Amino acid sequence: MTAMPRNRTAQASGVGDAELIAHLARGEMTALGQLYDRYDGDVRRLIARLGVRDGDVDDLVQATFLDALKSAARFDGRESAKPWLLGIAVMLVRRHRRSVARLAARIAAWAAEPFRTNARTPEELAERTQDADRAQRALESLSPKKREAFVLVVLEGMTGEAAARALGIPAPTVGTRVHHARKEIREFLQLDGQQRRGSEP
Amino acid sequence: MNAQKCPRVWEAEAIEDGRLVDADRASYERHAAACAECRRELAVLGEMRATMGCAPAPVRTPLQRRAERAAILRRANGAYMHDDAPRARRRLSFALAVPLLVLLGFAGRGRLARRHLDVALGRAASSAAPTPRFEVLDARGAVWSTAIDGAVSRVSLRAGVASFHVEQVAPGRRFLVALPDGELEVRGTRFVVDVEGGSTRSVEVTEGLVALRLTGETELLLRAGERWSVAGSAAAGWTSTPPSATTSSQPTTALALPLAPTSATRATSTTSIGAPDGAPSTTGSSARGPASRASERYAEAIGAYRAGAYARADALFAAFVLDFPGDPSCEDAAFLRAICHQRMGDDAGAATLARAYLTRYPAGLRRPEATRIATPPGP
Repeated sequence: MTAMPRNRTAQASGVGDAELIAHLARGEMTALGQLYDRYDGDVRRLIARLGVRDGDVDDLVQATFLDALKSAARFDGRESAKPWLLGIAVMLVRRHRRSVARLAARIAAWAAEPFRTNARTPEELAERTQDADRAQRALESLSPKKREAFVLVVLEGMTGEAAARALGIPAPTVGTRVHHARKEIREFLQLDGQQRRGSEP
Repeated sequence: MNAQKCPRVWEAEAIEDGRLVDADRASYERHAAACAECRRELAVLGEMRATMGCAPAPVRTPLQRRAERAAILRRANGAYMHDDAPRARRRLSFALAVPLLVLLGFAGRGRLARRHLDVALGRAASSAAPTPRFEVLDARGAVWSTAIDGAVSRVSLRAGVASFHVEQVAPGRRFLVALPDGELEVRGTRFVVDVEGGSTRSVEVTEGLVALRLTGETELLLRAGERWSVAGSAAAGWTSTPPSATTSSQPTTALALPLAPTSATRATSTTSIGAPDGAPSTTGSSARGPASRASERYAEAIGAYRAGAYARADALFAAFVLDFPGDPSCEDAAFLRAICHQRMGDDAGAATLARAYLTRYPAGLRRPEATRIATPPGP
C-alpha cells in the first residue's frame, strides 16, 4: 500500500523556489534559467500528456516559462513552484486547444474528412511500445477536463488542493473529475484487454 | 461493473490521491489488511497508475535542452528590450502614418510619398550589415573572443563548451571558429563545440553545415544531426569520426591564434588577429596553467552563488576580477556581483555594480538585464 509522493521539491541548489521566483519577479534572467533547469522536464511531460501534438510541445514549453516571467509577481510564495508552473502550462494548453479547435473547424468546413488533432503517423505508431500505446489511447479517450485533473493528480502526483489551484476550480471538483476519469480508464483498459485476448490466436 | 459490498472501498482512491492522512490513513490501512475487496481495489488502482505512467513523455537530449534554455532566455531578454511603451508608440505612429499616406495619395501627392518611401528603403538597404549575425552562448565555462578581419569574422574558442547560432553568411564573407588545434567554418548554422586542455573534444551540429579542419587532418564536413568527438585523450587525435561525415578534398589549414584573453562579448571588434592560414598552432601548456587556476577560482565563486551564499560569492567574484583582470569570465563575474547584491536586498549596490558593468562592457551579453538593474523602478 504505497501512496504517490506529494509535491516533491527538487532543489538542486540552496535557493528555494519561492526565493527564485522573487528574483524572477525582479526581472532576473538568471533565475529564469534556474527555474527552467528545475522544471523543464515536468512541464514538457505534462504538456505532452495533455494531448498536444509533438510539433507544438516546444512552443508551449517556451511559452510557459516566458509566461512565468510575466506572472512571477503574482506567485503566492508556496514551497514548490511546480504546481504553479504546471497551472500556467495547463492554461496555455487550453488556449492552444481552443485555437486548434477553431482551425480544425475551418478545415472541416472545407473538407469532408473530420479533423483529428491526435492523428499519428505510421512511424509514430510503430515507435510506441504496447503499454505506452494503451496508456496514451486511454488518456486520449478522456475529455480535456478529466484528462487535466487525472494527469495532474495521478500522473504528476499533485494533491487535490494544488491541482485545484492550478486548474482554477474547487478541490472537490478535481476529486470528482479524477474519480470519473479513473472509472473511464478502468473500463477502457478492461475492454482493451478483452479485445487483445480475443485477437490472440 | 461488480457491485461493491465494502462501504469503505471508496477510501482506496482517497488514500491513492493522498487525501487520507494520519489517523484516517492508519485506520484504512488496518481495515484493508483484513478486507479482500479493498486490497483488490488498491491493487487495481496501483496497477492503473503504473500502466498510465507508461504514457509516452518526450525526452530531450542535453543539447536540445541547452538550445531551448538559450532560446527562452533570448526571448525573455528580447521582451525586456522591447517593452510595451515603445511598441505602443510604434503602433500609434503606424496608425497615424497609414491614413496620412492615403491622404497624400488621394491629394495627388503620391509622388512625394513614394520618394519618401524610396529614401527609407534605400537607407534600410545600405544599412544592412554585410557582417554575419551570430550568437555565442556559454554552455559550460566557455572562454572565447571575437574579431573581424576584413571579410572574415572569427570567434576564438579556447576552452569550455559553447553553443553557436550563426545566421546565413553572405557570399564573399566567411565565418570561422578558431580552435586551439584547428578551425571550423560555417555557412549559417547552429552547433556546439567542446574544447578542453587545448584540444577540441567534440563538435555537434544541429542545423546547417560545418567544415571541421583540425591540424594535420583532412577536412570533415558535418551536417545537421552529425557529431564528431575524439575518443580517449586529446593526444589520441582522430580516433573516431561521425557515421556519415564526409571528407572533402580541401587541404588542411590551421590557425595561429593569440592566447591573450579578451572580453567575451557578443559584439565584434575590428582587431586583426592571427597569422596566415597554414601556420602551426601556438597552443601550449604555459598558457593553460593560469587559465586553469582562473577556472578553479571562478568555479568556486559560482559554487557559492548557486548555494545562495551571496556575500561570499560577491567577495569571490570581486577577488577573481582583481586577480585575473584579463580573463573572459570577468564579464560574467562583474554581472553576477550585481545579482549577488540584488539578492541580498542591496538594490543601490546592485545598481552601482550594474552601471559599472555597462560602462566596462557596453556591448556585453548581459546588457539587457544589467540595464534593468541599473535603472531603478519608477514610483
